Amino acid sequence: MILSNTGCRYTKYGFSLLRYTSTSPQVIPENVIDVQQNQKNPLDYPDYFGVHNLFTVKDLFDARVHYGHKIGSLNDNMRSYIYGSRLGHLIFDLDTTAEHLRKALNFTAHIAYRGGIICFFNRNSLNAHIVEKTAMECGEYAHTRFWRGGIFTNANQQFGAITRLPDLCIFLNTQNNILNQHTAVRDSAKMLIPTIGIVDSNCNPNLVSYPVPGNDDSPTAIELYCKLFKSAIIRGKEERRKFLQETE
Amino acid sequence: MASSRLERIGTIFTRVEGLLSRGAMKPDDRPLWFDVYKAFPPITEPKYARPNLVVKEIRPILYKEDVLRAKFHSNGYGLAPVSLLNQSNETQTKRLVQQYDELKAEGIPEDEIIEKAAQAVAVERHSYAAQKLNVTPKNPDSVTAQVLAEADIKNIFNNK
Repeated sequence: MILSNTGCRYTKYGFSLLRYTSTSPQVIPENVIDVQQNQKNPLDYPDYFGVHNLFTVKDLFDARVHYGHKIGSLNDNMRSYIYGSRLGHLIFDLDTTAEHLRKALNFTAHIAYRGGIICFFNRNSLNAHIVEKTAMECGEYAHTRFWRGGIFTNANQQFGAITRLPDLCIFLNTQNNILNQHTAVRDSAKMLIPTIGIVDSNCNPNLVSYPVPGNDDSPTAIELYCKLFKSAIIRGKEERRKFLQETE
Repeated sequence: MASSRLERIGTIFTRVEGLLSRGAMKPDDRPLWFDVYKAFPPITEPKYARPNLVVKEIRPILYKEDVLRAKFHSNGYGLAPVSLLNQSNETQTKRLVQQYDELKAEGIPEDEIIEKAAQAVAVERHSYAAQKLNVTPKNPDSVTAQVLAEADIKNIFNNK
């Protein structure tokens, strides 16, 4: 059988980690099929990287993740994530938050495992340094400054070359200021990039693929999110390194 | 490579799926996240124009001891500085309520408890603050410790 040259790449364990995996029929030697059955596919496991044990609800509470804004600034789309109002201040339901955060961490670890580019976003200058430091420590990228329009949507013109955009955007706050949503949330959705976003009670979660309801202002909360996403990325990369060593 | 920039229509996943099923995008060109998203979809679909079906009432969070807190606040005892860096410290109102319960268990009449509890907590705070002032340095021989020992912080603005 003649192999067409699109994507028919020899994969030792039946699936390749590279970006362009093949779905066209190909001749697989018999011994590879045996190995393929023994080799585990991370997508078959509900929590392959063990991100569930990275945090507990108590950790979220101690980091003040449950504090929302005042009730007057509530975005109606955030209603289902709210536990109640304590004398006018909204309090998040941390069980819901934990569920969403675990989903987001799992997704992050899988993207890191597949060698995706991850970019952290944050427009709160109080927390900008810790976000940039986190990105640096896990070998990823951060954008915490003024967003020039078209960085994603007009990238090839702006940078003068074909540009690879990130494969995942993590927003530690989704607002530019108290009024406007960060343009990159919309632009990521335009450019088919999945997003993870910490959405406070005054934010709109609709365009964020994996929203995590929680406090996006307190430095303690941001510190916790940074720590969690960093360890998820490091776990994903560690698994990737092991996989690549095995296949060599 | 084909793509769809209409972010208000469907979700990123449905748009890529549409391109794939119609052959506009080759299976080899599918985004890196596509399989992960398929295996672990979000809890709610991230649609731009998602109707808010569940209209959840925001319920007030109230406790029994709020009545006590209100009493302390109306007498002006409720507020005191809180250190946000220190997670172990209890707030003024929490201490007041604890003190109230202790005094009530001792059998002190209701009208005196508020004053007495406030006094006890104030004394406690003063002694704690005094303790903090007399901190002994970890390394008494260091330059910092020597400078701090000589420093007279209370009279820092007095002209000598």
